[in-house]
Amino acid sequence: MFEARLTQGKVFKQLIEALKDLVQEANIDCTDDEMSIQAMDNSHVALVAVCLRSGGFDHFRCDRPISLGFNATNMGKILKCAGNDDIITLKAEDEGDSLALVFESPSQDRIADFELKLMDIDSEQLGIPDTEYKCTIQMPSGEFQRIIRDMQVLGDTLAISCTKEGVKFHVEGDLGVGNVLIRQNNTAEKEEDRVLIEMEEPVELTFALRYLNFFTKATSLGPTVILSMSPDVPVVVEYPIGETGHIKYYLAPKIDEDED
Amino acid sequence: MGIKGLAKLLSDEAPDCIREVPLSSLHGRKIAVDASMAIYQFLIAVRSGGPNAAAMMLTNADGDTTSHIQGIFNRTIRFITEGIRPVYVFDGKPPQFKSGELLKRREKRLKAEEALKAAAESGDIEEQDKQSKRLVRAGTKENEDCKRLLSLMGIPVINAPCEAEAQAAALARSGKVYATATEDMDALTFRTPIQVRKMTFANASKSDIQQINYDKALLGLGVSHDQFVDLCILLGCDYCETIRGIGPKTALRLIKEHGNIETILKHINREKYVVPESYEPMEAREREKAENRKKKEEEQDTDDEEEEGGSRKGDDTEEKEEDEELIPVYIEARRLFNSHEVLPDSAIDLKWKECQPEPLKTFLVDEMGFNPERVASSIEKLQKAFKATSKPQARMDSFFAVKSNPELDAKRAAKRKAEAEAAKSSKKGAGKKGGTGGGFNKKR
Repeated sequence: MFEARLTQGKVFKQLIEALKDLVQEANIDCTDDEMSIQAMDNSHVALVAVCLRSGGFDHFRCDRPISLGFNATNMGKILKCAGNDDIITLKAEDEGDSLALVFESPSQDRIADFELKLMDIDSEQLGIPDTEYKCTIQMPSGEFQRIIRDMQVLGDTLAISCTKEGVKFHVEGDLGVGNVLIRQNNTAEKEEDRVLIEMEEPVELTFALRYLNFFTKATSLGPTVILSMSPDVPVVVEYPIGETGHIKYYLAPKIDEDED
Repeated sequence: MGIKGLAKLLSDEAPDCIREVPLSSLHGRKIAVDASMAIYQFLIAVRSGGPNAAAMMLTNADGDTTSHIQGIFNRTIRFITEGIRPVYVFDGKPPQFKSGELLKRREKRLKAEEALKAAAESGDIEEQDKQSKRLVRAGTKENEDCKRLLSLMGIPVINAPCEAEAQAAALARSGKVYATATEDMDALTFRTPIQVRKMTFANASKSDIQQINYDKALLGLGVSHDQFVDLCILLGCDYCETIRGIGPKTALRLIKEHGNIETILKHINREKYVVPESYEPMEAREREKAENRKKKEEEQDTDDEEEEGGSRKGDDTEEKEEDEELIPVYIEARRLFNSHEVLPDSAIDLKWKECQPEPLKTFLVDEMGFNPERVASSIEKLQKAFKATSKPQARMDSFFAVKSNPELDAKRAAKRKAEAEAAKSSKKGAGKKGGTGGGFNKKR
């Protein structure tokens, strides 16, 4: 038996919104101390990893580890029926084939419950090691979203380079060239407006903008985003969700043929 | 032609090794495509003419067939658009050993030719269509056309010294490419780590392909590689006959029980199963000799005519010449599967180049009689797709290893099997309607 009650139902709603364009199907894996999702897009270029720790829920019970396979679009449709202030409760039987979702309005005068049919999902899980990255950039998530949106106008491939000067986003396309430079700024009044750059050595990587655009769907989940980069490995785009968890996106870089 | 019944045996006994995946999951992969198989498919499938007229192959003004050009051109563009890098492998000379099989195919052609004539006389269009498909042959000209087309498109082409599947499998094994794309199941016998099937994209929206994993196949069948090769020989390969009476299920059971063909031959019931002479050439010859001797004795008793005696003398000398050791066919076949003649890795340089739009246009429009506008738009598509993938996208699994989850795998395999059985029984209930629709797999 699995049961989880989230006062801030909005978080779950936004989480599903944040991955439903990238992946069609995924498993929610529940253990007694966390709820997690790991899934890749069809072409195995990007990966999304969600983690919500049990401490972030008002009530969390998971008798034995359970995997709930769901269709992201359909889950999104059901969550559309939940208000932003609603309390969301998820329930599933150990051998059941559906997930129950209960939406309670804050004043407790409206209770809606839905059942989503679950499915067996044939997906490979990747083991992601904890790595130290050469560059870590923390910046306001809204700013990152804007850069991605602006750059997409010009082309489909984005080069991100992190140097002493700051972080440079560079795009080239048929109609021209675009650059955005973001400098370190640790004096902003609000903590979330600061730009913090930690760099061991300069890194430059190239990515498909299409995927980065999918990632910015998570902007509403938190005020900051953390980019972690090392040469020739996937970039990590992490949105911390309060104190309770995170959604991390991994994107494989584009490589130069000669190195291949 | 592949291995008879292996696809079905795998889906029954090792369902875990077969996966249906969307084409886009091959994004960024290099794939070795069995060109001869592809050309063949196109020659059969790409035809004009409705249900009321016998379907005709596409031809240019000179009457040369262009079906294969059309097919290869479009499919390659599709590959590039999906970020897949194809390399086409062409058949070289057939192994000497295959001559028996080839002879059989020639006989079939002759038969089909006669049937076609008969159908044309009686005006049976459906039959005509069917027989003319059987007559399709991918000759040297078709191969050369395609090679020219591919090199103009900037796609690498490899001429295998022998069988294309073997060469493609060798490429995949050495890691030069990710998988072998062919319908022929013997790619697995040649130990390609991954085989991709059903790359036909007949329907653009539903482009699921079938991916077969060699290691998982062995695991699922519970046999070693050598046993797998023997199993394939028993199922029926291109290189030798099979033991009559042994079907896929029996073959697998026997291999598991006895380990190899030699031991099986020692143990099986000769009454029930007919072992072909070529499996035991030494014994067969002994028997023949004995019979001959017997005959001779008899003939001598009855005192034959001069002429026949003369021809018998000829037989005798031949017999003496043949007295060297004869090798059973299955050992030859085994050798072909395990050490097939392939190009060494160092001789292979896979380079994808930009296409040459002008010569390509000349070739397709002027020589092959294609529609200029269509060719132009296709070339543009190809150039765009090539540019987009010129900096290849790396894949997630090249950085992070797949976590194995045996418990889950087993659960899924069991489930899939149950589903397959359920589907089978429901099909039977429906009276087996349209079960043998036109798929490529059955054509050859």
